[in-house]
Amino acid sequence: MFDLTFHPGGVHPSPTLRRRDALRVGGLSAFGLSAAALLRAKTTRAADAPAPRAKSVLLVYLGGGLSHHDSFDLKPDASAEVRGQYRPISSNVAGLDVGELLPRMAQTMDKVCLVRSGAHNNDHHETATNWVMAGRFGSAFGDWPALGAVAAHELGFSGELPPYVAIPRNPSFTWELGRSAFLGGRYESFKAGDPNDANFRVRDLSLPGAIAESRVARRQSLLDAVDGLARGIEGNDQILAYDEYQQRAASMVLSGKAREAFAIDQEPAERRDRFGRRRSFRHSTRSCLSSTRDSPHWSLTCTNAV
Amino acid sequence: MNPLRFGLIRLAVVAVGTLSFSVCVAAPPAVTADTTVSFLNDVEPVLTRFGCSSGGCHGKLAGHNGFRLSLRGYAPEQDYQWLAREAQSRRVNLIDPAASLLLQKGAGTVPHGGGRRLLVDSPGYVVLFNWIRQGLPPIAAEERRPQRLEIQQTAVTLATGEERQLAVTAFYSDGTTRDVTWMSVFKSNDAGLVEVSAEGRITARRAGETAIVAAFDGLVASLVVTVPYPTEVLASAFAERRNFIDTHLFQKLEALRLEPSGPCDDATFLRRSTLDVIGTLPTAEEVRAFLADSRSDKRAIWIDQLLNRPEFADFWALQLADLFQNRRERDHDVRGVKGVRALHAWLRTQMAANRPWNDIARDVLLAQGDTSATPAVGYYVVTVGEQPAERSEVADSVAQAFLGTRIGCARCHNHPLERYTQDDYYHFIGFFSRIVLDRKEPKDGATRLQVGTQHTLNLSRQLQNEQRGLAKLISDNAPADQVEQKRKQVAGIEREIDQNLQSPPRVSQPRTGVALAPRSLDRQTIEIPPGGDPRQQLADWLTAGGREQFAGAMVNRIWRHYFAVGLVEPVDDLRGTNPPSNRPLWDALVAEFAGHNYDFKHLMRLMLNSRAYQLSSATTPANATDTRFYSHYYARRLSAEVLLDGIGQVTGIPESYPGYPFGTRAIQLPGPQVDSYFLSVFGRSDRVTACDCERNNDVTLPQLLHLRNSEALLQKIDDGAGRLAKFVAETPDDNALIDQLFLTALGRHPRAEELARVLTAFGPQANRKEAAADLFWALLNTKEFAFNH
Repeated sequence: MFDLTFHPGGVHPSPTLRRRDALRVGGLSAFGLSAAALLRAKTTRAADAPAPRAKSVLLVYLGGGLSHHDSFDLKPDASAEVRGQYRPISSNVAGLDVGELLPRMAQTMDKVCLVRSGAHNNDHHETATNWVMAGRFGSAFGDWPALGAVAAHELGFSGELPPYVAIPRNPSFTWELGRSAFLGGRYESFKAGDPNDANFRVRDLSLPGAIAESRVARRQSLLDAVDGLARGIEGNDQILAYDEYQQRAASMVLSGKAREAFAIDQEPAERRDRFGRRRSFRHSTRSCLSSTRDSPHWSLTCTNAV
Repeated sequence: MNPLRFGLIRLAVVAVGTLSFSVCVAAPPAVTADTTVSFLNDVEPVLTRFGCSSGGCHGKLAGHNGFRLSLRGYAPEQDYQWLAREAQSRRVNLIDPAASLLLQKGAGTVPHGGGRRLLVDSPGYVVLFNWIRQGLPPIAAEERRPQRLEIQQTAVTLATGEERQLAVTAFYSDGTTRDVTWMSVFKSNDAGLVEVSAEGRITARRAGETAIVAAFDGLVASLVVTVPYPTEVLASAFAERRNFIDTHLFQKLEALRLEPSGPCDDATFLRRSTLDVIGTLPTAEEVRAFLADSRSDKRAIWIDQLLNRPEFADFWALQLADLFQNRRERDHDVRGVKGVRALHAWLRTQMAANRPWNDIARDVLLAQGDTSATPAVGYYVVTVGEQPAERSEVADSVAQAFLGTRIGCARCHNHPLERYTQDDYYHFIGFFSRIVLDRKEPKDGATRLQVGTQHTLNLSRQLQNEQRGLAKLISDNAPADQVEQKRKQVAGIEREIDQNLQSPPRVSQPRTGVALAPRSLDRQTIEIPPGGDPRQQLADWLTAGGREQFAGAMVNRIWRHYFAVGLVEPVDDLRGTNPPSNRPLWDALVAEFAGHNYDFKHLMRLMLNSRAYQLSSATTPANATDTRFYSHYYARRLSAEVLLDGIGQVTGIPESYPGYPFGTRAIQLPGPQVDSYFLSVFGRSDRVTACDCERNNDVTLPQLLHLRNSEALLQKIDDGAGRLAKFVAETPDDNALIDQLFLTALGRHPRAEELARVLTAFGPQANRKEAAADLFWALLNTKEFAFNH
């Protein structure tokens, strides 16, 4: 479990107990968990074993989508104009209600760290989206790198998978949001495309058509024979990047692991059904990403209801 | 107060202060108990120097933990209130200054989120202490103010590892000077090259050249530090010089002991220059003809031919369209694709006629009327959009596109690295306070830019209504008194419009509420005649007398286009604290461009004919780490449009774009709204802002995946109507076929060792067509194809 504290100053991963934890735990103390107990739990863990470390993060970004007061933060006591049309139901965490449209989610809330207090006061699509993506306020044009780009910068490739993957693509109204900003193009998201499309395949990840293996090998050896520019040029960052990605691209295609990671049709039908049949929620193709050994450090999946 | 304690402070400070004059090291000034502390001249600089008012701490808009300061002290009156008065003056303790929250927090003697910023009894501490002890002297009406800052040396040459202490002097309005080294904030433009400590001590880390910037009390000064390479280079390496570009450029290389690479060969020159000037690959026939040409001046002849090719206008219209952000609007596009196309066509016409840059700039800046008759009005449709001009991004865009400078920071606070203040920003935007867009949906007619304000626009709409009403009354033979009343109404509105237009243009500075008149960025007050459009005066100021920033901004873009790296980087961030990497070359180029009537082709011809431009891209062990001084041609990836066109040209199967005639090239597309995965993934400009960074030249993984595996590319190679099929059919000899493919894709013959390895793929058993297709694929996937080198 990890906590994010979201406020206009930024998003801070919580290394120690913060005020919010204390408040929340304090609020739950009637149910037998006190702040002291939580502190104890944290220290015990630290003493016994290294803190669990997230391998990958999936950010489901419902831009203009599911409203908080219909889902995880209902306001049943508010006036009719505010509270919305749905009623709360209780979850498997005492005192934590969710919206009535999420009955199965309600049964897994004990595995969820719910932050209800993230809010901003910005009414400009691009500015606000970039703010949320980066955790840092800036101009509409994305002054700060999105967290996925930061993960890519810090962690590098995850096996053969690009570290920052966007499904189907980054959010956008006119220009692309959630970009790598000053970190540079190497850390932009890898856009996987829309798995809901008929015959979905991640672009350029497989060899087109039926092509004999011998030809694939011949192409590569011809390329090795004629690609001599870098031999005379040292210290050119673009050429170094080109070389690196040329090799990564070749091995991604040859090994097929990256392709498998996105092969939603390889998942059993019932598992796919569990992600719903409604188009917007099938975007959250968690199954296709987490079922393989490799998964990107940061996946961004978004639906724009605009 | 504890008298013993105070005595100690005096002693320490006076002793160090004396030292400072004899050895000129970073030393605090003699702040004694008797000197009256100035909030403006002492306290604010201390708060800035020790980071209290920085953007990460109390200087951000919301302050931090309840305590707020203006960013780097741009609003001293507010800071005084916040420090001395806010929260029942809890931050200062007049009876026991040392117990002031300000000092306890700053010295970290009570818990402070920002940690310890000042040691107790250190000079900064003493300034704050004395200011409190003296009863918080407020800002006086007539205080001396610093007017100029200087780092003592103008240039410094150091060996790697060598150190030097800088001394910074401030020159005040009353004629006094002051050593402000200890109160200055230092920054290195390249900290990996020359490091600078908070106290102003510089250390040379590796060879090259960069600038150190010192900031004090809203002023900045910079110092160029040169760290020559260790090995001596023979003078003959710099001897051959073809024009003044080479003179200055090789002088710099000589000073840095940076060895230039040798000249590039003819085939490389032909491909390089053709790509750079017209964004197009040379054909195999052009390569053969050029290599066979034995004239000694064939390169100069080729350059002249390129500058007169029709593709020149296409390619340079694309560059200007990026600069002028030619795209559809974000939300309520009033201009539509038609308007985008019209502006693009207009730009192409300008470049085809080689119109001088100052004329093009004036036409765009002064555009008015409707978008169909004056396509350049589109520049304002995009940059002003739906807001009043003085609240839009137009000033930021104009400053960046025409002056290569970024003033956006100053919208909210004084620019951290430049002298621009918030006042400067609102003075500047005043030039756009008398334009208004009469926006119309395309079906209702063309959007018009007219001189006036939103208020006068509303009035003129009202006027039209009333005039129609009057005409109707007259034609209906209405009673005379009704007609007369209507006439009066019409005259009243006309008078009101006139009064509004005649009033001097002013923009309110949001922080101070003061109404500011238009003023140029170099702070010349400019008379605006009553009723005039202040943009006229802006355009005059901009293009007058070879203004360095105006000419230089374009010179730098063109230089970067041909030499990959701007003399100033980022290319559109010209400021005193970001000096050009070669000042004499910069001065000479700027003078040349302005002195030759802002003639694009003249400037380009000079650059292209220089020896510097024609150096090889291959590095030598001695110059491989150079990325700034042009010791070799810096190979770079082709831009999105040029690469896509290149693939179309080489395969003989051009890309098609919906809505555009077959054969339209990517460099001819008017705007970024044309859907293309290839162009997006290779980083074409979205033209959302005037920033040059909108175009992304990075190399990314999806690009490589696309070049290797894209079905579209493979289909182009295999297409029966394509060039490969034709070559295979017409060229029975394998060697000749391979040669043709090399010439077509890479613009050169294969080398012997390449030919030998490639021929093995064309064995007797091989399917010749497939082997040729595989070779073609390999050639299109080389760095040599994807790069200009």
